[in-house]
Amino acid sequence: MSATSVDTPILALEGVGRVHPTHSGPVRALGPVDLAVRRGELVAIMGPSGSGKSTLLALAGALDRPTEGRVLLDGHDLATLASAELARLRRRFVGYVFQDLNLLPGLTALENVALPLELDGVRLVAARDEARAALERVRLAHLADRFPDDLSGGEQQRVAIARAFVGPRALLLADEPTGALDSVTGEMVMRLLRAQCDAGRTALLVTHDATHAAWADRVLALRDGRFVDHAATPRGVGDPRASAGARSNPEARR
Amino acid sequence: MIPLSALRALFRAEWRGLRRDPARAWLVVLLVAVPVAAMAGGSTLFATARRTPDEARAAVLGAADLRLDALATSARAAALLPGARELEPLGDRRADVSAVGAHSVAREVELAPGALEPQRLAHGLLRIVEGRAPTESVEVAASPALLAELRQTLGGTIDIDGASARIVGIVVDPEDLAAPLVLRARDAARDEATSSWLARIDRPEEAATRLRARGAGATARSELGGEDGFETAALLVLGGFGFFEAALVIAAAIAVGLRRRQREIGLLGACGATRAGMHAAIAASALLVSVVGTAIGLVVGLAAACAAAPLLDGWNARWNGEPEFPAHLLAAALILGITTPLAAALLPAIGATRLSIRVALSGRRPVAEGTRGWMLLGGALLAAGIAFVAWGARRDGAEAGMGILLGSAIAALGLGAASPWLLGLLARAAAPLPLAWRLAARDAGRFRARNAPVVTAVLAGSSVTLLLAVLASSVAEFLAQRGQSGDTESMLVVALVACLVTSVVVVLAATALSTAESAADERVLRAVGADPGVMRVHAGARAAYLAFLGGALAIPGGLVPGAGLLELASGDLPFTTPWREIALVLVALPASAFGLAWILAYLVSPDVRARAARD
Repeated sequence: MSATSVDTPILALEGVGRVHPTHSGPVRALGPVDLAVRRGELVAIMGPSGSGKSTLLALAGALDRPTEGRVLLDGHDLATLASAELARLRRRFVGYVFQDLNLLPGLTALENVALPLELDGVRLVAARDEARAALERVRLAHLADRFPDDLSGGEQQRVAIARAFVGPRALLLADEPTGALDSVTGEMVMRLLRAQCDAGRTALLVTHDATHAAWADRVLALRDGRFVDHAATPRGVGDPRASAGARSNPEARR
Repeated sequence: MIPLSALRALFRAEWRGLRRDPARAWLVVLLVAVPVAAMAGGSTLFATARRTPDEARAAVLGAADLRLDALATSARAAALLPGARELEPLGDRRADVSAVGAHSVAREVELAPGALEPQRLAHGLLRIVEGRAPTESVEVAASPALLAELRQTLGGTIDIDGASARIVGIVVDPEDLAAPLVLRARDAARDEATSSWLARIDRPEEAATRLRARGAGATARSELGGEDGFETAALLVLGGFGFFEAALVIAAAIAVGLRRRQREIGLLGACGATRAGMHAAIAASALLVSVVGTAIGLVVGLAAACAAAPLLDGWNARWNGEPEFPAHLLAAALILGITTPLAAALLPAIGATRLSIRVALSGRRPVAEGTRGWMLLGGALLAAGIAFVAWGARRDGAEAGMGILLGSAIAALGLGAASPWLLGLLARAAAPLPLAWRLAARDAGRFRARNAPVVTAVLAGSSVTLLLAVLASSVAEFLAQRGQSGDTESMLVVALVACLVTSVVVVLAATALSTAESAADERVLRAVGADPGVMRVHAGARAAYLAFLGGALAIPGGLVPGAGLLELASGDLPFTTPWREIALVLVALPASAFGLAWILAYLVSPDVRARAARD
């Protein structure tokens, strides 16, 4: 998928809603909601359990189809794409990071990162070179041949972020990526996400943690499937990057 | 078109998945290897023990083109067979044979010296297994059976029709090792008339027809030893049935494996894997397992057949020779072994990748679809099956057999298709039951994708049991009404044991799979203080439910085709309900499944394993 225009939101949700069938009848999980995310933005979505955060993320990333409204990725309506085209979109345009089970346990860190490229037909050597470079960016090149079970939770999440941004992918969708991590490791992961967005990529982050949400350009609050508030995060005072010494330490922004 | 690199990446993930869960992979290997070994070994033993067309011809004609059965001298024989290039005299009659204190009547064969040598016409008619063939009128070769009767050994002496002869060899009729037989040398100098002549001749069929028209007995080589297609077809049907049973359990095993890897499959989808790519990877891993299972099954089956082949001579009292490998049946075992897991993987693979990626990643089971559709499909198939059986029962020949066979298979599939609905019904009716039984019924209903093939496998095995029981009890009743007796019981017992063992093995495989799948539920049970006994009863009850449902569905599944076949058999055979076998299928099968699953649960329980580790 190629970029259509600089002004076009990389992700747009227009009146998007999702109703799930259950044993006791249909349940509305989301919406209808509207959202536009610009290129290079890091947007955080907060809300209590069951408010529809993960559903929104799944719809935004073409992991699920809305029961109403339209999802536009880089100006393309996902409803018009066939399943093979959606799969190609997930290989080339969107990366995901989840709270847990981000990695295939049978594949090494390098093989996990190279997976979307290999699935996309990239030659093995080229895919592995690119995957190694992605691991280098998250400072895990030395653990490339380890299996997920031999990595700590933080290392696993960093491998997942490397995979989410490997190749030409421009949009990262992260569903509570720090939920299973301690605060120090969580902050390291957030710094990594921020650095990727500062480098021109875009991220939509679902989190429960206000300190992690503070790394975002915008924080949206979701309750009962609808946005109730949203505001740009003030930079400077209260900006976790400042407290983490990010500005004084260029390494921290990598 | 799926890129090669994508297939490689997906297959790598599959391969690592197999290595991380070797128990299930080996279960599938075993499920493939057992029917392959049974079919390869069974068909090899069958082919070895069976009289081949060549063996049937050699028993009558040796290596000759034609046998003339008419008392004739050599001149007379030559006159009867003007085109014969070579003639060999063959005396074949009954003779009184005696030794000191013993007497017997034996088949006496008289051949010219050296007539059994490879280039001669009588080659293959008899076999010298020790010593040599007689060359003089005072020498004989005798069969082990005759020697035993006369209490003589090689080198001893016997009297034939009053003349004494020394035993110089041991001879056997390859087609009847137990026959009392004596081989004598014909005196070539005296051209006496002999009972038969072997001839090498062109167009032996024409010569045989001409001789028969003139009142002489004659047999041409091509008139003997026709192929018996029925036996091959029966082996294929039996083998196919074994693979059908295996496919159902393999499908359940693959479905469980894929469900355990549901989130991994979701993750692959999130990384951009296409459904076609994932199907190809799952098929490739099924192919790998099937090739390993087929190779093991072929090696084990053929090795076992070669080891058992020497014992055959004692069993069927014929010289069976070296093991014979029936290429077409071995090829069928190979093809069925390789394709069965592929076919079995198809539905689970489609089911696993049909889930939305969001649901797959959540690890939750999707909202179960209604089972009413399955009930309707099952009812329609059952009705169609019964209609086919009824149609077949009113036809003759191949149409009748095909109608009944096809109808029975469709009816069995219909009953199997209705099993998800019935499992749901059992689950809903379980509310008043004790905890372990209630949980087991609910599990049976929850995991319908895994349990329906298992129920169908038990149903198929038990249906065959009941079908055979209907036939056997009806034949027994028929004979009893006419005051005759016949052995229908031994065949029935063998079939019953085979089918019940198959059903119990199927249920146990299902129990092992469900134990693996409900590990999380059992952790919760243990955490809330459930007694280990509850867990064991839970495991036993799960197996008992599946066995009971399969057995109950087998009643129409076995009786309907049984009634059809009886109708076909001229209508003289009365339909007799096999109550004893029905009780066996309804009570003994679930009870043994319960007991064995209980023991299995006991053996794999953490307490027992911890105690074993301490010891």
